[in-house]
Amino acid sequence: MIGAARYEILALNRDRRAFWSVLCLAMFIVLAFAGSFMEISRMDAVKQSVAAAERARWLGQGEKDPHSAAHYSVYAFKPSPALAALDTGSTAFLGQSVWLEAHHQNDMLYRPRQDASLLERSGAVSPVVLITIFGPLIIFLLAYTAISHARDQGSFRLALGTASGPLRLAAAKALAIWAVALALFVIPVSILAALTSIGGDPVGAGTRLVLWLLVMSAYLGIASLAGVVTTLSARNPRVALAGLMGAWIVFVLILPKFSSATADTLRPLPSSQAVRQEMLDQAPAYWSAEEGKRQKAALLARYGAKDLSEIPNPRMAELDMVERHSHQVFDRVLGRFYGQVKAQDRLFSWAGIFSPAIAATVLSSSVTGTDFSHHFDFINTAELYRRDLVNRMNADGMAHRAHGAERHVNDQRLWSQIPEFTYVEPALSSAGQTAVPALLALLAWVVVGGLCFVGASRRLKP
Amino acid sequence: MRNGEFSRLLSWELRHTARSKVLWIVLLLFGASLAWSSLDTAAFHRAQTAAQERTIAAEQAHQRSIGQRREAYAIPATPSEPEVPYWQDPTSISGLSQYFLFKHAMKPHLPLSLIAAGTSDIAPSRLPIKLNTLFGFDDSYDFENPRGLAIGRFDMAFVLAVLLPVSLILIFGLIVTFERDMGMTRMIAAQSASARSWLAARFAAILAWVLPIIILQLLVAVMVAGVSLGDAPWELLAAISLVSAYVLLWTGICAIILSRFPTSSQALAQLGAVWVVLVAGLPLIWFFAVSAFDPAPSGVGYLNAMRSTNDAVLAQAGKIIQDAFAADDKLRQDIPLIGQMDHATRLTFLVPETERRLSQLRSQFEEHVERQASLSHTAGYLLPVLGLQESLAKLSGTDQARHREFLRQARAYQLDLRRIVYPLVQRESVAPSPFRAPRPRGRFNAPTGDFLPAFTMQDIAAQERSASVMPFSLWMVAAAMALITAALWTTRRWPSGA
Repeated sequence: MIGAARYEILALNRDRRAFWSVLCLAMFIVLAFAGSFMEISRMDAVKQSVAAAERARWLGQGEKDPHSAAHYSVYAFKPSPALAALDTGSTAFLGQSVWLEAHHQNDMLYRPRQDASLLERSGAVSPVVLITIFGPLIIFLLAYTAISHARDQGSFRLALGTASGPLRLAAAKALAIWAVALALFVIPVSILAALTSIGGDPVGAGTRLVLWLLVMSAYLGIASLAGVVTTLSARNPRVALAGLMGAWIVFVLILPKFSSATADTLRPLPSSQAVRQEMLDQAPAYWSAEEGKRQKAALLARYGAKDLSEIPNPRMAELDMVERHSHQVFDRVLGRFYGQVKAQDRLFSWAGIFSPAIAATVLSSSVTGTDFSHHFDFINTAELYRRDLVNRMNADGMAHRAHGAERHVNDQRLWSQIPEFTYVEPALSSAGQTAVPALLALLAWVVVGGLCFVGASRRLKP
Repeated sequence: MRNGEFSRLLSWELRHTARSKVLWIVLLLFGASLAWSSLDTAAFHRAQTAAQERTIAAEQAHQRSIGQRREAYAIPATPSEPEVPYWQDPTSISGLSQYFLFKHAMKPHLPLSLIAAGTSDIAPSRLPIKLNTLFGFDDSYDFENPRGLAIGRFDMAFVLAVLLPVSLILIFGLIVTFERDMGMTRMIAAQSASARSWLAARFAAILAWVLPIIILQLLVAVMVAGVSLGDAPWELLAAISLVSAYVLLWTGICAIILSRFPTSSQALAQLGAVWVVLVAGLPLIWFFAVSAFDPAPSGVGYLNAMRSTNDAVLAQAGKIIQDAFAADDKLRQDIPLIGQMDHATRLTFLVPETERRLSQLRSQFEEHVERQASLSHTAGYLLPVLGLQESLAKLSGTDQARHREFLRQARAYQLDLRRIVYPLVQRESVAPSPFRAPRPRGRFNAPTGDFLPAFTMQDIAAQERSASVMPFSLWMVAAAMALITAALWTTRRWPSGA
């Protein structure tokens, strides 16, 4: 079988049209990797240096009221996942930093493509986009060339007559096409990714890289099987070609975008305006005099006091109470909102049943850590850090007596008790659940592709 | 090419092409994609418009709440109902300026916005305008699922710019090569018809079916999404001209390849390669070059500059305010009052100074965006797939240029508000209005009612917008004519060995 596949690879190599197409795409994929890697490296270098400056600013903010320090606070920056150059996923459309200030769970800002021109948006493709969109097109071309050409020349019928079995002959062709695609489209960027992600967590990144390789291998394998099955089953080469092109248009060009839009339509998100308004209404950062009066009554009840003078630092206690109330509001409003985003993504993941391109896209971004689930983990980590920081600042204030115009202040001794913000990429098992339907779908496509392949091969007659 | 011969061939080809299953299957799929994309984009933009309407409602509710508080704080202050601190008091001009100003700049959708999502999925169509936000507004945005942003919207611009060429490649590639694939070319060559007449008639017949149907599908798609054809006649005419020119251009590209009488596999491989290079290859190379030689200034870097500038301005606040007082004839004699200023009043001096210090960096961002937009516009002529998307976005009002204009107008609006409010705040700091007697709970030194203007986006006229895409349309027609002429020249004789 391997020998037969090797022969098929040589035969493919003889067809110059297919050869140049494969080589061109392979070159574009490496170029896309280089482009993504350059951009990510540049962004990460800036983030690291600004994060260090932020830490220095936090420590060096001087003597002040701890609640003012909580307002000053720090910005947290999301480091790029180790394999982001393989698949930038949603990264370019997600905020890269967040201000962890008191009273607000702020949006993450500075999305890399916020002000991108149409050309930047179209050109900034990562390797996985090229592999999932154009990989099947080239594979179909290879399959068509390998089989139709042999059929036209009559050598296919001859080979069927002499081969130990039609399945073996068809399998050699499919294996050859798959091997070429894998060797030129996937392996080079995987090696580059392995080399460029050595610095961080080698085990985590290595595992993810192996999984990515498996996903891409399965996807290109499905495309190879589909190409061979269609060409073998078609009445004549024109029908095969039309079928392959049609399948590519529907499964790769139309269905992913269509399913993405449909998932968003079936599970609509509330507008950001509605979400912000709800948070503003339920947890205002600046409250009215009337609300202030109600809060003071609640504060007295909480402390079992008759007068604010019985509370050591009533201003700080009120701020703390309001802050903790806002946490509940944020959890409820934003938790619901982000839950809806994940529900959209889960639905899209299920759409992998309709197209292997969808399944591969979902799995790739999940495995490389560039999907929203991974981003959500960062949002949560940053928010927990913010709450801890603000609570500790407020707690310090509450522990010191201050009434009327009195103000308690603190300095670097307190600021340095807050650990530096660090972020570790979550385990795939915890952040990759959105992709489980896509995984099942991809496996189903592999099985269906394999069965169709065996069926089509067995029907072959010399 | 003799006229009689061509007419006879054309008439036969028109009938023959109409029987092609490929033609109708592809056009049916294309029409369905077009209709669905228009419905989806229209729904998306309707949701954005609804969010804008809710914002207007929220502004009105906020104004009513301020009115109610004015009434509540008009009563004399007592120990149980004391004076309200300025940051809770909308009757205080300084409190109002910093804590109660709730205004928005909104970019309304144009009637034909459903043709292209453009920047509408990533750029905000609603900006909260606060007096003291640096340079007009925060870097905020309306959250859209980032997965959808990365995959891209299934809008009419995508269907027209990306799927239409693929559809044309399939139709031309399979119908024109039929005889070549079946080994019948020699038989046709033996007839009296010349290669040029035969190929021209076939192309003309396919075009005669495809072009009107696509235009019709475009109009139907616009109408099913709820837009009346009379709502945007100029833009619609321009869109039709663009799509027609684009169909002609791809007809020319197909003609060049097919004039060499390839087999269907050769034709589709070559046309597919052209399509891949135009859709992905060249934009990728362009982006690679741009990001290597003209990378975007870092937003995170800007944030760093903003933080350190803010710190520096706060550290020098006293001197900055003192200098501002000294430079102003009306304030000069009141320098000693600086120490009594509230935070909101201090900001009226510190924010402009912070902006002044950051302006150079800010300009770098704006210049980069301008440069990229200009490059993208130029690239549109070389990469018609991008050019068409950009032109359709322009007609839809979802283009980057309109968004930049929106941002510019929003910033101008903020400056207008500052010109109204800042002098009132600063005057109060040096010549406070007398308190009412008996002293009420509120300060009552702010004008009553909604004394600030609302934002209204000024747009260019529909004719001007439509005219702006005509050069690209004409360029495509010229390129198509050149390609078709070259193809006709190539087919002056039947190919040998076909």
